[in-house]
Amino acid sequence: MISIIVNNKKYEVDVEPEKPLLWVLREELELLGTKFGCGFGICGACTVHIDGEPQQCCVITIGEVVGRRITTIEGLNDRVGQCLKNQWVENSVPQCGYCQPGFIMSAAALIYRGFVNEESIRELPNICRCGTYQRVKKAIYTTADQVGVWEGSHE
Amino acid sequence: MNNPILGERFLSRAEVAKLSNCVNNRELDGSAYHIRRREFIKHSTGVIAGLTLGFNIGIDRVQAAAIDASPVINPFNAWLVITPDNRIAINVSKTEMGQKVGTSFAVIIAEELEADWEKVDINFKPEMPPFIHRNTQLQRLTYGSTSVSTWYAYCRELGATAKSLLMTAAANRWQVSESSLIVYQSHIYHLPSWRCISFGALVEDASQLPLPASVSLKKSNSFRYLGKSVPHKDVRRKVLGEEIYGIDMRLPNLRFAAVKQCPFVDGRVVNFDALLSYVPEGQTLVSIPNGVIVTASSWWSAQKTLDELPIEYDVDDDAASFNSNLVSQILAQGLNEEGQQLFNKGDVTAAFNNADTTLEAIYEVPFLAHAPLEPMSCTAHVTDSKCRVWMAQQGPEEAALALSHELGMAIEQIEINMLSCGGSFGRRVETDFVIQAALASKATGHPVNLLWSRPQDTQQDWFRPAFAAKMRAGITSGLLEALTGINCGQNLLQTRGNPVPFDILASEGFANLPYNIPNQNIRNNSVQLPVTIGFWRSVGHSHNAFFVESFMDEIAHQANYDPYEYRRYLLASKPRELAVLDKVAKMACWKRYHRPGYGLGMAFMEGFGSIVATVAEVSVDSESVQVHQLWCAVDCGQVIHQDGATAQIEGALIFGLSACLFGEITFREGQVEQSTYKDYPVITLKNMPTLHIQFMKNTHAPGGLGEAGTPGVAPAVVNAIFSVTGQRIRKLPLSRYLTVNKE
Ligand code: FES
Ligand code: FES
Repeated sequence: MISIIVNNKKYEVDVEPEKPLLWVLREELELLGTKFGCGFGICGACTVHIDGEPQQCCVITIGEVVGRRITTIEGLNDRVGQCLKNQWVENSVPQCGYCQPGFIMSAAALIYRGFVNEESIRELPNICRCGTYQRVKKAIYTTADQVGVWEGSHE
Repeated sequence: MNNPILGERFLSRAEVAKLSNCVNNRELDGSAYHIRRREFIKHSTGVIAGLTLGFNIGIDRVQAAAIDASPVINPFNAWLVITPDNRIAINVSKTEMGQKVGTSFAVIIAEELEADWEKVDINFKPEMPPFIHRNTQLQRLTYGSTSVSTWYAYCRELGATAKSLLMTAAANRWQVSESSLIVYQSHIYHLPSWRCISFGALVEDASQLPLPASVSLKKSNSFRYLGKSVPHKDVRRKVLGEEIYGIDMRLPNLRFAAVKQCPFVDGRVVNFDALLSYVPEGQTLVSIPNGVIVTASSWWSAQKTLDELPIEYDVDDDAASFNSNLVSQILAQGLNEEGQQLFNKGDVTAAFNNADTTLEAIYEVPFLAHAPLEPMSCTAHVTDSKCRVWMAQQGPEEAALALSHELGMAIEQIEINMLSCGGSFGRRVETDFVIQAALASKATGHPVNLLWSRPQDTQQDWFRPAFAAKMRAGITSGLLEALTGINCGQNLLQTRGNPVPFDILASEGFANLPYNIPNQNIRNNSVQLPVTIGFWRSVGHSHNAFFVESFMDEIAHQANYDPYEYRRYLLASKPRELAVLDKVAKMACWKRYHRPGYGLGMAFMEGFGSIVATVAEVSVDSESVQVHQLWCAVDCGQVIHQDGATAQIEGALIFGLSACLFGEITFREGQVEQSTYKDYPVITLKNMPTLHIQFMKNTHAPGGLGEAGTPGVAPAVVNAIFSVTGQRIRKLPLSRYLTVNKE
């Protein structure tokens, strides 16, 4: 049994320690908001927070996160999370929506760093094949501005 | 109205005053046009409570002779259900892939119905029995940007018919004339008597009434929803991570399946039996025609087993040596052959003889993958008597037919359930992954959720075909007098055993140019290649716009004209087209544009019932190119949902840009060389240009929007590069020649 803490809840799971966290979330805990896009740490669809840091959990094993604080899209309910989700809705960001939970998790982690500008938004690695980036930018910018961490230009 | 009352009531003085103000009676007199009802059907007995309307558009039971098309309401043809609790369910027959087809249909119906958008629920048709439309136009397959353009009139009439029934019911109840009623926000009002009643309170009466002989449609100047942006119903669900995609289906005793298909363009597994011993306890190996599937209690375990299987393939020498150089050679040879005539006008030979300048250019584009973010995935549960699937796929009818054929089951035994797609772009027209899920379930006896790895998704795609074209122009005194073009590639419909007289898809945007060119000869030459090809967002237009619009730019420069002015001259007799072209030129400040090291390029196309003009701004320095901005003007007729339409163009532009900059599937020793987004890159925030999109305002019949934005990007970018460097790029992608990055 491996015990992990996800969204402030403790779970005991009976899996091999090398099983990636993504598949533990999806298959054992049925937290389906975290998506699979590539399995190689490239696309960001599987982004979660581990101790507040963004991680692509398709390439992190369950063994590596024992005892650490994991947050998924389902548990992102702090002020930053709320603001981001509202902005995402406000700007009708999702098309197919598949990339969006991962994108929001990356954006939240960026905002937690307390310093957001155009450059740092451009560094987010997430892939949206539907091409919603223009709206993603706007939603992050607006949220960063609302929570007082926008350091870029005001157009 | 502050208190949401469901039934009938009297209005307050304030409400009457407010309604008299806010509801313009004249706009509701409905005199716009009367139409005869189509094959509507109405249902009033117990199956679905409330007022239920649908279409009886001549459905067949698959494989059966045409049955008596009696007006039966089943979940399939119940499009609109208004229930006593005053909610409106709109059941959409198409596949949701991010294009918001649900919103579009619902907005059109809600408009004519005068529905309160808050009370509308959008459902994607659940548990569809396998019916197939006789009229292929009205089939459920979601393809070719046709959903809205095909169903616009039907949806309007449906909403108007429901409204008419409700009004008659209200008029009967109050013993007043229908013309004295006002319908607004899911309620019907009779202001002279201060009365108000909800749709819900009328459904029982309305469902007893006969269908009206004709209905009136609203005038476009009184639209409340069409052309505006009501909130999408799916957005919050998607933001919260609650949307259910193909990958997310869960059932009791579910097994997870991973698949490995033969990596060669042609070949098969030869050592299946020997592989069995490598499969751990608790997992199952399943043989499929082009590979193997492993099922396990976890997808990750199944994939791990697959990765370690020493699979051997039987591959012949041709397949084992197939490569991309060979493709280029075959296409180049094909351009020198006669091919088949697609279009002819005037006398090109004479016109070329009289031309004072001639110009020739050869272009080539590669195979492309769709690369949706959600890899192919499907859940199936096959028992002796039934096959149930839950799929994110575009064509339930095709899937049902394919399953019935593959499993040897009657079509009545197949049940199809639709889930959201994590992107598609034409990929999910295919049924390969659906069949695989069913075979895995049949072999194991369990429900199976099958998911492709990213490399499988990339390498086993149904690619946009590689294409080449040779274009020739004859210019006399600066005027384009003659144009010949031949394009060459695989014939997509023919590769599917569809006996087409010519390559219809290769002619899109090639044989029917919007320009006025007096002498033209346009041809196609189909070649055979061992590559599986498919429908890729904008299909034939995706390469033809690159050929034609790059060449237009070359011609304009050769004739010493500004490419924008040159297109104006060629479109002179077409006001709608000219307006779009002028619009984009204005948006980009084309005429006054001057920025050292930067340049603009333009492209124009017509397709899917829409007209699109695109301008790209690029900068090029020391072999590296950067796309800064894209401007796009669109005439798609009546816009259904403004925000949704803009999103479709945003997405289509980025899709086209990814292909233009990086998109390339290549073959080496018979295998695809790319496998993930690392070697098949797409646009990310890093190289994301600023997009400017505007729509023409008019009320022409709506055109398709999902694809029309894609084709113009590559020629606009390539033409912009020429304007900066004088270098003409005729083969995509750009990453072959230039560093493509923002830094
Ligand atoms: S699925 Fe983890 S980064 Fe793509
Ligand atoms: S919304 Fe479809 S991948 Fe981003």
